[in-house]
Amino acid sequence: MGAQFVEARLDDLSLRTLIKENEQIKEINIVRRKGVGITTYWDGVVGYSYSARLKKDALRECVRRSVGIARSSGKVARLKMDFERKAARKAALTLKCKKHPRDVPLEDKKEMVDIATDTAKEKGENVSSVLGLYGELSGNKFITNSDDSEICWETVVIDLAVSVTCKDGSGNLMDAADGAGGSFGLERFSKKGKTPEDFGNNAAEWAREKMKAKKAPAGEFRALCDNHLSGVLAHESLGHLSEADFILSGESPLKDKIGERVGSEHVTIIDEGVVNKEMEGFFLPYDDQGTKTQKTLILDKGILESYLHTRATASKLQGQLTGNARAVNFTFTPIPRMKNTYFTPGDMTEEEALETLGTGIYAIRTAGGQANADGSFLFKAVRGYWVENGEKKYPLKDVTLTGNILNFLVNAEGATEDLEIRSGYFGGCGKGGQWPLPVGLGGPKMLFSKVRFGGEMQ
Amino acid sequence: MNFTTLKEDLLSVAEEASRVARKRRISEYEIFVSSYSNSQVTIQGGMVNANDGVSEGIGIRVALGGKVGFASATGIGSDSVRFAAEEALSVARTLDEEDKRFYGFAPPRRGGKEGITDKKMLNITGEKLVSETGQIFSCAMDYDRRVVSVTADVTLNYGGFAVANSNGVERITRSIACGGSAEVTVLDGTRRKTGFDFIAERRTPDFSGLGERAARNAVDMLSSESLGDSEKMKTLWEPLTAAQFVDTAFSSSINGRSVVEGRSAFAGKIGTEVGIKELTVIDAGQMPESVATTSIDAEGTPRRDTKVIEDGILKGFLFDNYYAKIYGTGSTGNASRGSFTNPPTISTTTIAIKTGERKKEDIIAETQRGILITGLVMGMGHSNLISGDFSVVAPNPFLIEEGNIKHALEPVTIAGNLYESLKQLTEIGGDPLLTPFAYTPTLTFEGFTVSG
Repeated sequence: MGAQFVEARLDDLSLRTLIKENEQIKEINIVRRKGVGITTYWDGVVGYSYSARLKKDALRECVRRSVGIARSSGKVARLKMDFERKAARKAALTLKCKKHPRDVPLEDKKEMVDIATDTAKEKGENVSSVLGLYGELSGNKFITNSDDSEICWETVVIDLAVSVTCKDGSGNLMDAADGAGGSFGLERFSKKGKTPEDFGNNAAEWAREKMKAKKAPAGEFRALCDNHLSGVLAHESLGHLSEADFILSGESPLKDKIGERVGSEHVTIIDEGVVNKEMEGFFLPYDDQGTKTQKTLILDKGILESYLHTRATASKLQGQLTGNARAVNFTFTPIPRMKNTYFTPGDMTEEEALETLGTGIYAIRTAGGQANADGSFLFKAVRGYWVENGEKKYPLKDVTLTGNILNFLVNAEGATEDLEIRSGYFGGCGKGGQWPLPVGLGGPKMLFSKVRFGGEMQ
Repeated sequence: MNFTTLKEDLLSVAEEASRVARKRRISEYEIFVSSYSNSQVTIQGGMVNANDGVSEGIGIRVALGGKVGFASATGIGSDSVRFAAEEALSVARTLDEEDKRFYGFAPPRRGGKEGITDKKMLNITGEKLVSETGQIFSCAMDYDRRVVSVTADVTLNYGGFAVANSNGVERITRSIACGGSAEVTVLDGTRRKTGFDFIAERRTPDFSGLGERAARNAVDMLSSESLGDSEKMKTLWEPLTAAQFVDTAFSSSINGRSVVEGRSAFAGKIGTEVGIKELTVIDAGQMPESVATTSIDAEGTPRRDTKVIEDGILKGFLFDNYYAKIYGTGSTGNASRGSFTNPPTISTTTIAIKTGERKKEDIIAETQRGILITGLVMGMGHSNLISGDFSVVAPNPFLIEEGNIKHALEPVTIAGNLYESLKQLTEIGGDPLLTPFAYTPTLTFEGFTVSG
């Protein structure tokens, strides 16, 4: 049909979700997601089509639609995308884990949810609702293209979470949650601090604490962000704005800033495909164009080092292939997305960090965040403390933290020595209608001299 | 996928699945089959990304007494049908406890109208989508020399879903929708601002002016100044922004599942005052122009309009078949599924706010001091739907002083409580706008904390 390059990607995945709500299994959901996506390049324009029907005639129709829409798009493309051809690469990779979710019976997963929810219910105060969730995604991805490459890898991600809703004296509802997820086997949930009991206990305790919590104030304060929240900060502040499609399109304020300072010397941010197994990262050995994922240094002691690329953006911007071409499922074309994005650790202990914080807000855990092309971003903390002279004074309610990439990370004053990276089955990153994509994020606890809090006046 | 034969095509898949279920002696089952053609052309700063394909799949629920299993598969071929049926059955068999609150799948009910179906849109070709996107892109790029980037897209979606169950439900609904959007970034020196606009319609949309509006929204922000303070003040939410607010405020609070399961702040408050007396809210499931309108919900129950708040008094919640039974009422036709991969849950259709008198301009003219919030705010989706606490960032706000828009503001944070806000409304405007979020006019609130 005249395409210069063709790539076919097959997803053969299974997803399982188990939801228990107030002592009742509400949902056991089994999904088979099998389908093929065809990317074609036609005169510098990318066309994409997909099909869940895998018979020859359906695939032919799929290729026809992919080429057809690429061909019609040629005349409006002001930026033509081409890329270097690569030598053929063959690879097949699986993730080794002791208790692969595929081999563990449903009863065992249900039991973990039971323990987490029972513990939360038992330990909670004025509990009005308990929700337990288990989810897993596993299966294979295959990629083949005109370079004669053939790549196959196994993707696995599991998640266990419990959330508790309580009612305070005046009838107001509040909630708290705990859990863990990542690319590992179910053996992880026997680890100290990561058991279903631990999650139930924490959720109950934090919900209880929230009953006494005050509203966070509004305005600029010194801040310490815990490991989870730092991860969202790395992702929302620098991560998105270093995705190379935003650079090419001119949307990102980080355009033409390679080699420039955008953070203090305490800020180093890495985006990596396969992280240390002790962490709770997402296993991504190859991206959705079959590129081997790299450990990408985005920010080195405050200096911008690299963008996050697909094959086409790397070629256009003369950057290194980083392996960031990702699609949430076979119905989407791969675009630049993050892998596991994290701040590297510093040398403070938590106590030292609190002491250095002095008076301000210790913001903990997160409900996610968002970034905008004007450089502004927000990230949401779901717990926290008002700290005076290094001492936690009282707990705080949910609050939004916000800033602009061009003047936020320069306020970093230091980091603790403990690194945590997490990912999971529930939630994920959204971009261009592609949601939820599993990504890893993390960091140490990060200390900032100034952060704007979107709190309330009393 | 062929729109004109979609009804027969989907129902024949449902029939095949029903046969498989009956053969396995499953007496209670529910089949959900969907097929949608999605075409999208995106121009991101000159790069074109075009996507054209069909999403299809089947989801099956099987009940063995109170043991209910669900499974789904992409594709609507025989192998997908068999996989979903077998897996749903095996899940149901795995369960060791019955759900005592399960009283069967939805009963057959008449009624429910389709929204506007403009079949002319089926003739929109890939070339047309491309040229429309190109037009939006160029108009935005050429609007002002300070425009540095535009992302424009146009989408055309059509298709439908069918629901069949062992109670005799056998229904299908179809829809066609077309939409477009533009996101513009402008740069003046080191000052960088963004603007946005979009259209989503059930009739062939007119995209003219869309690119320019998004660009103007961005350019207007270039003269922004910092608020330099944190204060409780009056906020005016333009219809689009208000729709985003309203959609969030009502997504969980009136959801029958949240109510029954103890996660709604409005639980137990039927008949009490939850908002100002000018506030009347319906879930408008049958608004013909809304892209959310279908003839049936995700369980095959007819869609309808449901009164939620009348003159400030809480009147009702939204239900699917399961939670309606537990609560002791009937389904309001609000069962929904993110896709065939999900069993039904409950969601709003189009939340409609009863319109007041005055337009935005008139309200501004009588505002001594306040903030006008335009465009989309960031972080609305991160609101705490249980406590109702929200804390958002508005990238496109304006300061109002002495009845005039004084100047644009640097991004501000706005914080308050979604559920208390209905009593903090000071005015409901007379300038309603239909968006995929909701149908609402300009809304004015007193008492949110604004900081910037």
